This record gives sequence, C-alpha cells and structure tokens, in this order.
Amino acid sequence: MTHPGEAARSGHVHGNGHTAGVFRHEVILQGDGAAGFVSQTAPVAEQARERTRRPRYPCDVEELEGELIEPRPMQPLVAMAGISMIAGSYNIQAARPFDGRLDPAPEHAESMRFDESGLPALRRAVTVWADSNCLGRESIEELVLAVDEIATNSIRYGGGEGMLRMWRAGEMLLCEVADRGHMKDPLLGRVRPGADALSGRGLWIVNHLCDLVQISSSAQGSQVRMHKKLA
Amino acid sequence: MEEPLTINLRLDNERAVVEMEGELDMANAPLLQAKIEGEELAAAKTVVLDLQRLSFLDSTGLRVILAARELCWRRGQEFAVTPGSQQVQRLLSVTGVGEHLRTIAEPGEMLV
Repeated sequence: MTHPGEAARSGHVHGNGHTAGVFRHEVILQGDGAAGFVSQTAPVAEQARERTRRPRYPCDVEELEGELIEPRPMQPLVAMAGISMIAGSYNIQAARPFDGRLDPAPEHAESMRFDESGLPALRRAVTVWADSNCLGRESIEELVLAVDEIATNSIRYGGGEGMLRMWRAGEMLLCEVADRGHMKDPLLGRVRPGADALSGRGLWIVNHLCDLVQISSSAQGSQVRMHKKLA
Repeated sequence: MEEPLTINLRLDNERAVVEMEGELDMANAPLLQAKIEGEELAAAKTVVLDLQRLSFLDSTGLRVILAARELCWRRGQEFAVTPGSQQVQRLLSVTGVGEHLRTIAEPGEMLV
C-alpha cells in the first residue's frame, strides 16, 4: 500500500524537476503540525525547544505562488503517518498555504460560468478545449475530472456557482475555477481519505491528476488553478 | 437536454443488477441513491453495480456507490461492481477505493 504522504508527493513530481507544488506540500507538512507530532512522546518543555530549534523556510508560502522554483535539497519528510491525527488535535497556523494571491488570468482566457445544472456542459467544454490544444486522451480525462471536482466543491461550498477560465501558457494548459467559498484547512486535499470515507476526496484527487495545483483563498473567495502539461 | 445517466435494474433469480449508462456526478447521484434504496432491490441476495457502460464518475458518484455498499451490507446482501471505463478505473485507483471494492468481470459472474 502506498504511504499517504509519499503518494501525495509523487503526485506533484513530473519529469526531472520539483515544482512549487512539491515544495509547498513539504512546507505544509513540516509546519507546526509535523513538529507537534515529532515531539509527542517528549516532555512539554522539550517540545517547545524542539519547535524553536526547528529550521524554518526562509520565505513565506506566498512568494512561491505562480512560478516554478529551482530544485533544492529537501529535508526528509517526518512523521507523515500521523498527519491526520495532528490535523484533528493541533491548530496549524504556521503554513497558510492558501493566503497567496495569484496573478489574474489573462484577458484571452476562455471563460464559462456554471451552476449545479451545468456540470455536464462544463466537462464538455474542458474536453473540447483541451482536445483543440492537443492534450492526450488520458490527460484530458484527468483534467476534466479535476475541473469537475473543484466545480462540484464550488456548487456545494462556494456559493452554488462559479467561473471557469481556461488558457494556455507555453506547454502548460491552465484551468481555473473561481467561487465565493473560503478554504481554511491547510491540509485540505493533502491527506488521503480512508477507503471507506464518504467524503473529502475531491481536492486529493485534483492534487494527483494535475502537474501543479495553486490555490488562493480568502474571505473574498477562492481560486483553484490547475496546470496540465502538454505531453 | 439529454439525460446524462440512465439506470436499468435487472432482477435475475436472487441477483439485482443495477446497470448504469452515462455519467454519474453530483447532479444525478440522487438517481442512483433512490434506486438502491428502493423496494425492488431489498429482496435480492446479491446486488451488482454494473459500471461497464459508465463513462464518467467523480468523487460525488463514488460516494454514492460506497453508501450503496454500506446499505447492502446492512441488509445482509452481497455487493459487487463490474469494471468501468478507463476514467472510472483511474478514479478508483487514485482514491485507493478500487482495491477495496469487490469486482467481478461480468454482472452474472458467481461471487466466490
């Protein structure tokens, strides 16, 4: 069985480089939550020291948004197995993965408004657009599923409707879903739900199917930007 | 507009086969749920969800499939699915649910 953390990481690694997505995953999982887990068996004072000693990434997550970053040496992922437990018992504030702002979608992006009756049409539109950009069949299916999952979340949690924008940037196809929802859980989509879980799979799936997923979310609304590489 | 999901129920001896054709998403997941909860299915010993003609499945549809399995188990029924399209199988594999779903090649296949 795949280790949940490993699966999440590998979902972001394509070709020879690490994307901002991988780096962000590390930042989230090595935030206060991971530190809390490491020291669970240690005395309280030791826990506090452990946290202050713990190296921090020099930049805020915000700076990572919108660009691919150079590969850099990574610390080993620690305490991955305990993350779901941590999510329940610690308030993780250190890594605020959704606070960053994304550059606006370009003017020439194709746009389409959707609501609960529009999911089939939305899937057709993504299929036709991705096909016209020569994305392979399997990748089209993955992108369509990813957009469908996020759009479903918009309908369910993001005010009942949303806006899809699609554009091409070099060898990357981008689909962005914007709505009025506000995502607050930093581990959203990072921990695989159990095989019997009845919900919580949408963003997990999207993280796996796309080459990069960028999320910006605030009280004003959310944007989820999905990147899919052309071949 | 064309109905994106058609559900047919076939009762054969003690087996109920729920055949789905089209797309199973948020909009039509309640159709499946109603079918599963319906009286016609309750007497069957075995329930098979036939996914062979299901072209699209997302996590909302998957949730209904898992809820259907729960209900069948509670009723003391056997539950199985047939493999769906490439997209359906991809979803089952990414979520890790596929390996926990009892899968048979054809809806009439014996459960061992």
